[in-house]
Amino acid sequence: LELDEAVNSMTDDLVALGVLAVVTFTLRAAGFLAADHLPRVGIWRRPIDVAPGNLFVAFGTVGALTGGIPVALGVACAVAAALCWRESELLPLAAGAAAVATAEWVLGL
Amino acid sequence: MPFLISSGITGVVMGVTYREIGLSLPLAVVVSAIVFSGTAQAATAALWTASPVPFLAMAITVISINLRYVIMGAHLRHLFTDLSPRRAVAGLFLLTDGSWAMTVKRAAHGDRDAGILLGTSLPIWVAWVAGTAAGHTLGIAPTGPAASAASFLPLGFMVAVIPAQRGGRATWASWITTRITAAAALLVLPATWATLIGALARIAVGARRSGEQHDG
Repeated sequence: LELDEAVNSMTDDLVALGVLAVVTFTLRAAGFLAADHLPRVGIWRRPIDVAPGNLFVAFGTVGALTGGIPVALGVACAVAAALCWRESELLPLAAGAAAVATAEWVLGL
Repeated sequence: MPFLISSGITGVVMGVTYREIGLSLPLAVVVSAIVFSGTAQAATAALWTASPVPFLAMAITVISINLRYVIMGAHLRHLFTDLSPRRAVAGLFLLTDGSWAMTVKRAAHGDRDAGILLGTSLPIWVAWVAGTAAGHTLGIAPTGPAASAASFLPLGFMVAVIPAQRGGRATWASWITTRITAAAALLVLPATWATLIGALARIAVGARRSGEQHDG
C-alpha cells in the first residue's frame, strides 16, 4: 500500500512538472511562431513594434501599485534617473535599488 | 549582473518554499530547471500539496501569469526575422522578462543579435537553478533591505529602459493610456492580468490606428 502511494505521488509530481513545463514553453514559443503567420506590415506591424514600451510601462505601473511604498519609490527614482542618464541603465537601476533599500530600512517594512 | 543577483536570490526563496511544502531537492531543482518561471512557480507552489494535484488549475494559473510571453515572442520575431524557429528554441526556452528587456534595449541601439538573448538568459537560468538548490539545502531565505533591493532589480531594469523606448509625442499618450488602463484593471484583477491588459489596451488602439492609416 505504501508503495502504491509512493508511485501515485511520484506520478502526480511528474504530471505536474510536465504541465508546468509544457504550458510555460508553449507560451514562450507561441508568439514567436505565430508572428511568422501574421503580416509584417500594416495593422500588425506597429502594435508589435511598440509592445516593449507598453509592457515596460505596464510592469512599472502595476509593480509600483502592488509592491508597497519602497517599490513605488524605487520605480519613481529609477524612472527619474533614467530620464537624466538615458545611455546607461545601471545608474537608474542602482538609484532605484538604493531607494527601495533605504525606504524599507527607514520605514522598517 | 543585476539579473544574476536577483535571479539567484529569488531562486533561494523558491528553494526554501519548495522545501517547506515537501518537494524533494531533486524535484525542486528539476522544476526550476525545466519550468524556469519564478512567478508561475511561486503561484503554483501551494497546488503541489493538494490531493489530488489540480493539474488544470496549475495550467490556467501558468497561462494567466505567463501570457505576456506571447507578446514578447512576437516582438522577438520582428527583431530577428532571419532566425529559424529551430535555432530560436533554445533562446525561447530560456526567455525571461530580464533577458527580453536587455535584448530589446540593445536592439533599440541598433544591435540586433539573437545571441544577446541566449547570452543573458543562460546565466540567469544557472543562477535560478543554483539558487533553488541552495535555498532547499539551507532552508533559509535572505531577508531585509538588501534582499528587497535585489528583488527589485528586474522591475527596476524595465522601468530604467522606458525612456529609451520613447518615439515621440504619441508615445507619451500611449504610455499614459497604458498606465491608466493597468491601474484601473488592478482594481478588479490580479497583477499579472492588469499588466497584460494595460499593455494590450494600447496595442489594440495602435492596431486600429495603423489599420486606419494603412487603409487610407
